[in-house]
Amino acid sequence: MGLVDLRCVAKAFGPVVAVDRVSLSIEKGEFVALLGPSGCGKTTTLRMIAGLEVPDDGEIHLAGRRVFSAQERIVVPPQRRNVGMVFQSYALWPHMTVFENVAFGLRVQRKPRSVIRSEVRTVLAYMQLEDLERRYPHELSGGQQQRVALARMIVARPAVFLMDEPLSNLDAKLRTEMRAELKRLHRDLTATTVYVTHDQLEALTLASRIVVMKDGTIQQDAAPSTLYERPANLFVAEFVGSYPVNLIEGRLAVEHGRACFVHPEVVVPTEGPPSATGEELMLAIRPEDVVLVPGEVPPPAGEGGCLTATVKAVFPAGRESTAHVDVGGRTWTVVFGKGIAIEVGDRVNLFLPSARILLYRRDTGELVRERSAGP
Amino acid sequence: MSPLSQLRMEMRENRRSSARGLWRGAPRKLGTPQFLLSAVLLVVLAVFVIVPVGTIAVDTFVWQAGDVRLSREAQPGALTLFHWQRVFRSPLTGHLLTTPLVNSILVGVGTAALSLALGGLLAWFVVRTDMPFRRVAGALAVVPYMIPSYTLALAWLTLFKNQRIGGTAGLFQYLTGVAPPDWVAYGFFPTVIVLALHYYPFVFLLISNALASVDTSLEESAEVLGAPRSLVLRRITLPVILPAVLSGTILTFSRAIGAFGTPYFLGSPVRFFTLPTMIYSNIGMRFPSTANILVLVLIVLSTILIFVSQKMVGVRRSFVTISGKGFRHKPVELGRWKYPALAITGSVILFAAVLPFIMFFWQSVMEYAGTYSFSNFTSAFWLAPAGTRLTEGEPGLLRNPEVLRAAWNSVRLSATAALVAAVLGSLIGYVVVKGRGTVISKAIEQVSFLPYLIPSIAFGAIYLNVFIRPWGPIPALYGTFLLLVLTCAFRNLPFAARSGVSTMIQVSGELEEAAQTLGAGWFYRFRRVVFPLTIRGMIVGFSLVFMTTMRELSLIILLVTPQTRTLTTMTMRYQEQGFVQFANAITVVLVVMSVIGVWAIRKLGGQSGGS
Repeated sequence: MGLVDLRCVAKAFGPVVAVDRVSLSIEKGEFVALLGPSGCGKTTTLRMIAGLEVPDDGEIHLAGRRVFSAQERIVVPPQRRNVGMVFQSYALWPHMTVFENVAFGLRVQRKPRSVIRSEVRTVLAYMQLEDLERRYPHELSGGQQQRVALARMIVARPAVFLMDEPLSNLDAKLRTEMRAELKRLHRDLTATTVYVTHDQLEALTLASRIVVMKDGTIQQDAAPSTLYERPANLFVAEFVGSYPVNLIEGRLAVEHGRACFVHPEVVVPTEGPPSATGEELMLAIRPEDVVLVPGEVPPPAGEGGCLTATVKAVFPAGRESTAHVDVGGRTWTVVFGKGIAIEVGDRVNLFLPSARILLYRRDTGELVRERSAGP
Repeated sequence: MSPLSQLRMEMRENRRSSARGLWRGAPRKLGTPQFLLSAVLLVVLAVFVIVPVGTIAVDTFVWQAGDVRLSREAQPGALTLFHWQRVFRSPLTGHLLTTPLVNSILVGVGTAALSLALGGLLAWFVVRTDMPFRRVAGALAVVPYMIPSYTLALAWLTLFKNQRIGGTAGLFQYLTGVAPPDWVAYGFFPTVIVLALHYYPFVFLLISNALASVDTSLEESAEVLGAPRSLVLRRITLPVILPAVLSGTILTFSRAIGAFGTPYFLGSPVRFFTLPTMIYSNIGMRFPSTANILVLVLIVLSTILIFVSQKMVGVRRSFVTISGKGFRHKPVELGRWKYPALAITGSVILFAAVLPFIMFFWQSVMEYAGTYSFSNFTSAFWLAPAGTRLTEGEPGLLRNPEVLRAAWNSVRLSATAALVAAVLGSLIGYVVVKGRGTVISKAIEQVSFLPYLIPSIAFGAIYLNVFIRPWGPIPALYGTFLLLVLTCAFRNLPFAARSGVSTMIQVSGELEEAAQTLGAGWFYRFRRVVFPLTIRGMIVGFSLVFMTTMRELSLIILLVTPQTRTLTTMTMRYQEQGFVQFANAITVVLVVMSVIGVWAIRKLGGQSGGS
């Protein structure tokens, strides 16, 4: 059993099902990101772990203790769950100083004054806040407020850290800084962390495991690299990645004795044995996997398919520029390096390596053929 | 071992894993403090709001003990339609219902129109023009609402009364020698003027807020497109401030039809009755059922009005562009109209606030009422010892234990009622906001709004009807101070609850949840987090109710007894007995106390929100 264990947990708000029978087990020391668009149920899941929402169904175990069971009508209120939470708004109490905010959890536990004093000081020093303990939250910068919120959580020594989009209120530079801070925190304290975010970059850089959610269900639960390389379905493929994934519809057919993805403009041999032909498929390929071949240069060696596309827009950006090209009526993004010069209206050749394509069933959106871990 | 690694160690062992927090069995929500609190509040609201209103409606269909005077058929306790027939279909209908109803509506329309004109004009002067002293005028323009409306009526009488009601004539006749005709001195005309002078600050505040929040770029872009100024006013500005105009007008109308003091003082001499004064007169004559039916008529009337206004304003509100930032307005240049505008504004404030106060004071130091000369000065009504002939034995105001008791009663009543209302309002705010979307939260919010639909005098009548006899475990409360407290607290609950809800909305739920995840139980979180964060809102609610109760007359007039008399009801008694000087002196005291109260509360509220 994991440190945090959700079994078939469900929650509806009126007619809206926020979380639909989610099961999830989190081991001690893991940093799990719940990732998904707004309204996917990730925050509700987190709040159910904290006890701030009462699920309609299922069971929740925390540190070996059953804290919720619909069947046996067990509800342990948040204050007895020993979880720590950082809220999106930080939820610092405006009428208390930094010290009082941080000391709150220890005061609730009725620790002796001297102990509170020294423990709060230790944590404040650790979070580089020692000079600010007499300040009020509104006298702090956003980053400092964020640190206070973290300090307030860790000083109470919860079994699990729960974080609800903690960085979304910071500007880009601070966010990068705080990401490093969170990484340090997790490493130093080996704290089990559940982290809700809609920012895939945050999830990919911070988490040891990512749970992608949509419409209250888990779409994929995997390590960051797997999530990026082998999205389990079209939703995940489209959701994860810094550029939108390139898509094109086609079918599976056998050509020259090999299973191929067939589209009027391009044929890409697939790796592995031929499976059922005629299947309606969607080909997905990451922009950085598409090889842009300027006219004169021969296509690179290796298996793959070639197609011609018209350049619609070019976004030069130094080392790694991007362009939008038109492929069979769809807009694709391609990434290309310094050496290549293209202009709007150019016809360019695109090479799709077999090893880099992902094929999804068009009816279910499920991945039909995992590409092998390429070079 | 370094503190950090110690921290790490302790983190690894889950230290608070006892299972004492489990509760099994009972439906999950029922045990939470929040639910219990909601349930208690709902019961309280049912007892003090729903039941009294329900009882009054039922009672009108039942023969009352006193009805044997009215009809031989009366069998106390039995059902009857007699009262309804008496009010709606009898030779008395005209006197009891139709005339007061028509008068009320006319007074309402007149007051609303005049308030709109005064308030709208002043708002425009203050917000949008380059009139001199705009800021001062804006601050002073709301003062008339702070002094009780009936005191303005008394001031009117002091100025314009003729000898019809006996006693001396007013200042006007003293100065000019011409007796003002009855229609100037009493009845419809002065009632409307006085009510409008009292209520125009509503309209002024609403419209000036709307004008200030209109994005001037809307108007400017129309001007850039070449629209003439009149078109801009008609097509852009007016539609945008229309919700404020509508709600201000309807609010004033509904307040005016529910007003008691002013039509009572100004209408009685010429038997000009409105619904509230007719209710008072029927209770005075011990026809409670007739009064109760009129109460219901008044409630229905004001309910319709408020719903109409919410419908109209609700639909139109979507047009309003209100944003948090203030807009820099290019003021309209008044040119040579600058000083006339200032004169209009100044005279409204002068007539509504400054002059009455001077009049009261002057009146209170006259040996013979109505003689405005220095030789007529006396301090007897303020300072004379008991037994003075001039005051017919009554001691001067500042030595009169009855007056002092009434003053103490006023303060005590206002403070306790305000405290009850503020605490209830905060708790209501808490459960309503925390329970958003649940049935019980909606029920509490709706019921706490209900007293808003009931004009003051009607609310007093309703409480009189219910608490004059024992009811369930509650003993007969008539004549007790507690009844006055309850009446004032629950009548004003809508304001306190509104302020509670809006305060609670501003306190994000996450602030309490953060305390919860850190292990704080309900009482601890409420004491350390919720309460400190909402205390300022509670003070606002408290001061609203306190100030309203200080000047309250119509709400408690039916409920006071000699022991529980307040300054306001005492004024009325002296006025009725013809002790004009005393009435005026008390009014001076009341106004001074109100102003001090407002000032003290501001000061207090400002300090407590320090951090």
